[in-house]
Amino acid sequence: MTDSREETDISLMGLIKKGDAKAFELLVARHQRAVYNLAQRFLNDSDEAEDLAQDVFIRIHKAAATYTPDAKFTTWLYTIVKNLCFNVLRSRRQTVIVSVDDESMPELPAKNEDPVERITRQQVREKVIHAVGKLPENMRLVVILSKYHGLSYDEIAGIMGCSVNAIKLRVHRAKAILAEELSDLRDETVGN
Amino acid sequence: MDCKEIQANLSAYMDRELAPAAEESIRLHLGVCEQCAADHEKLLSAWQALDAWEDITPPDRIRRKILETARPQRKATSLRAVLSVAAALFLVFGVTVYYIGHEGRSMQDLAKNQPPVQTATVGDISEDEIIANLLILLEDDFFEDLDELVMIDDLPFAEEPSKSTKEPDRSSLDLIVT
Repeated sequence: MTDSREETDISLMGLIKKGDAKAFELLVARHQRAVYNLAQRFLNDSDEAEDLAQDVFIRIHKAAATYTPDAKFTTWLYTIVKNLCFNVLRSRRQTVIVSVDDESMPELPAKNEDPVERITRQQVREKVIHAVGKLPENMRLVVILSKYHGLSYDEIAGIMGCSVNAIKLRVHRAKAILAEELSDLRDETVGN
Repeated sequence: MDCKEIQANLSAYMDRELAPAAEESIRLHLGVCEQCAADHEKLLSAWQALDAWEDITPPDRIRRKILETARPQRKATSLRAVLSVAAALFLVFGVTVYYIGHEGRSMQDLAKNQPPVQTATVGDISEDEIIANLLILLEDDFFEDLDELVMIDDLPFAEEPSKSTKEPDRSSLDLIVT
């Protein structure tokens, strides 16, 4: 995130603190996609991601009165998402519900896309989801934050509450596991 | 850097997390070491494959639900403030009532400890006399002149001829006026 975006988020939080409903609406519009996709990828469940996204923003709205920009806004935001994600995992373990693969679909493909290409892309997507899903929870979250949210190791360390070196090691291990899991994709590509 | 160090830093190299000098060192090594270059390629390929898991546009109902939920939160906050003030006022009222009651009981206790107040005795004035005097008291011009007061004072005796010769008993007037 650029500095100007960060400044805008902090300004919006200041306005929300004063009860500005429009500012809250704008903040939701700016971050709901990131929050939803982070939760959706981590939990691999659209319904849970939807509930979580709502919960995140309601918490932000409540916390606006006491918010102080000690850290980057996105660090604070993603920390809330992370905590709620782990809460969901905990409640899943308690309720012992057998997880079913999420049926949510990606963006609709372009109309001019080759059907064969689309099927291949869908297969790759499923393999990727499966491979990421097999990663240990802490490693999975680090991968998602790094790969899909473009966060630096330093930012991820702030969110996860550990050292940059620990994040560096976790990313490295995750990449090695993913490389093994997705090696067949590479072989197919090389074979083609 | 040897191969082991290079391997350990390949991820950070891919993510542009290394210092420029270390980055340059790895870049040069990958150009000459086939094994490290193959490992780098493997990691890079898997990492790039993750692009297939595209973002999803969140359903608009999420935004609507968030905004709908946030609105009652504001109302609830206002309601909480009103309830807090009401609770505070109720508390003040309750404390006031308690102290007034306590004070009243103290006064009653004090009164009980006081010697009995001497009150005027009615003596042998009949109930009819008292009623008659009270009816006169209701008249508006009761206190207009002294003669009427004397007349009132004598009234019980005027109605009872047998007692008219006696001195008027002042106690009846005292009773009414006081």
